[in-house]
Amino acid sequence: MKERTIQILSQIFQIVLELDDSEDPKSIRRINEIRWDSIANVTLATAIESELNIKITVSDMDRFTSFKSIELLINEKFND
Amino acid sequence: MIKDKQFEVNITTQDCIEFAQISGDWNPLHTNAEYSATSVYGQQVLHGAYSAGLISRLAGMYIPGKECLLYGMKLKFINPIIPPLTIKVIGKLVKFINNTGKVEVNIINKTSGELYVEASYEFGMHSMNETIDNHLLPLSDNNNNKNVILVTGGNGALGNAVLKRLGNNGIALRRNLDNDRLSITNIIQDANLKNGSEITAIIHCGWPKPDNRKFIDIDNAEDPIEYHISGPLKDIQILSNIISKYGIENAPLILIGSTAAEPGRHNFRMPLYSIAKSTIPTLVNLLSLELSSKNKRCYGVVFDLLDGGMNKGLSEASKIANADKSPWGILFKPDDAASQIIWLLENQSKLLNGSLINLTGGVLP
Repeated sequence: MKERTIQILSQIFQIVLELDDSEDPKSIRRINEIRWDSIANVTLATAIESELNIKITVSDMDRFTSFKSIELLINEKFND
Repeated sequence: MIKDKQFEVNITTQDCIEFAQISGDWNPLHTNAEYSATSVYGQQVLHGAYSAGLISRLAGMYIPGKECLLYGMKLKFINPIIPPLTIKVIGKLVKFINNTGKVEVNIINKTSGELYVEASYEFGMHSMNETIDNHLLPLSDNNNNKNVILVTGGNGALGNAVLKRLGNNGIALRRNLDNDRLSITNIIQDANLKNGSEITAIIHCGWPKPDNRKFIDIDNAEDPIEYHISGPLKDIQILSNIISKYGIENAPLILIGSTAAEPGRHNFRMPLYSIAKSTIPTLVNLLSLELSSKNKRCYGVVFDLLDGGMNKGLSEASKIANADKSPWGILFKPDDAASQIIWLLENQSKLLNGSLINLTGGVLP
C-alpha cells in the first residue's frame, strides 16, 4: 500500500509541477521549488484527493511543504 | 514493541480511600460506606479517574514502555466499578507511525466480562540514545585555569554541546535549588573568582522550559510570570553584573536567542517563553551600551529550531515541517550551533557589540 501511494504521489508531482525525468519528486520541497506556487498547491491537493480518495482539509494544507511531508500526511490518513 | 497487553488488578474499598488521599476527591460516593449504601449503587464506587492511572501504567510499562511520552488519553465510563472485584485491563496498539502511536483500551470485569471503561491514548517516544553529561563540576577540584568561560543551561542540549567544545575552559553555572535561579554567590564560587580567575566570556543558554498554556488561560499569573519572564531577566542582570566586574577586557556576554527571539516563532504557542525571549534584542542593545563603558561587550545569537534538547520530543511531522522551512531541508544539531558560538568567541573586535546575529541558515518564519 505504501509503495503504491508513493508511486501515485510521485506521478502527481511529476504532472502538476511538470518535472523532468531527471528530477526526483521525493526530493521536492516547496521552499526551493519555483514551480510549486499557490495554484500548483491547490492542484496537488485536488489531485491527491481524487487519485487517493482521501479528504484534504484546510489545516492539512499547512503540511504541503514537501513530498515527504505530504507522504506522511497521507499515511496518517490511511491509518486513521 | 508489544502490541497487545493484558493485566489484572484486584480492587477493594481501600483503593477508594487511597485514591482519595492522592487526588483529594473525598466524594462520599467513593469513600463513605454509609452514604454510598443510600445511593443507587448501594456500595462504594471506585473513582472513574482511577482507570486513568491504570492506563498510565499500560502506557508507561508496556505499550510502548519506558520510552513513552503520553500525549493524551480519552476515557468513557460505561459502567461503575464497585469493589471488591478483579478487573482486567486490555490494551491493543492500533496505530504506530513515525514514533507516534495510538492504543485502544478496555477495562472489564475479569469474571463476567462486563465492560467498565472504553479508552484510548496517544503517545510518542523519547529517545534514550542522547544523554546529557552532567557538567556541573566543582571547580576547585577541576579547574586551574585563570581564564574561564561561563555557560548557563549546561544541562540543556545547546549548553551541553558548548561545554563539550570548551573543555576545561568552560564552566557550567549552577542554579539555586530552591528557586531555580542563578545567584552571584554561586557564580563566584563556581568560577573561583575570589581566587583570581577572570572571565573570558559568558554564554547564556539557560532558559526555563516553555509551557504551552495560552496567555489568557493562565490562572494566578504572578508565579508563572515571575518564573518565565521576571526570573530570566534577573538572570541576565546578574550575568551582566558578573561580566562587568570580573570579565577581562572585551569579554562578551552572549545571549542565545534561539527561535522565539523573533515575534511569531512557535506561532506564539509558548507565550511566556516567547515574551521572555523577545526581550533579547532590546537587552542586547542596552547592555552593549552599558557594558561598553566597562570595556565589555554584549551580543545575541539567534538559531532556529535545533534537533535535540527541548525539541527532542517533536513528532516526525513537526520535524519535517520545520526542516521544510529551511533552504537546506534539515534541522541542525546542537553541536552545529555550538561550533558557531565558538567561532564567534574567536572574534574579539569591538565591532562585535550590540549585534543580534542571525544564524538560522536562512530559514523562513
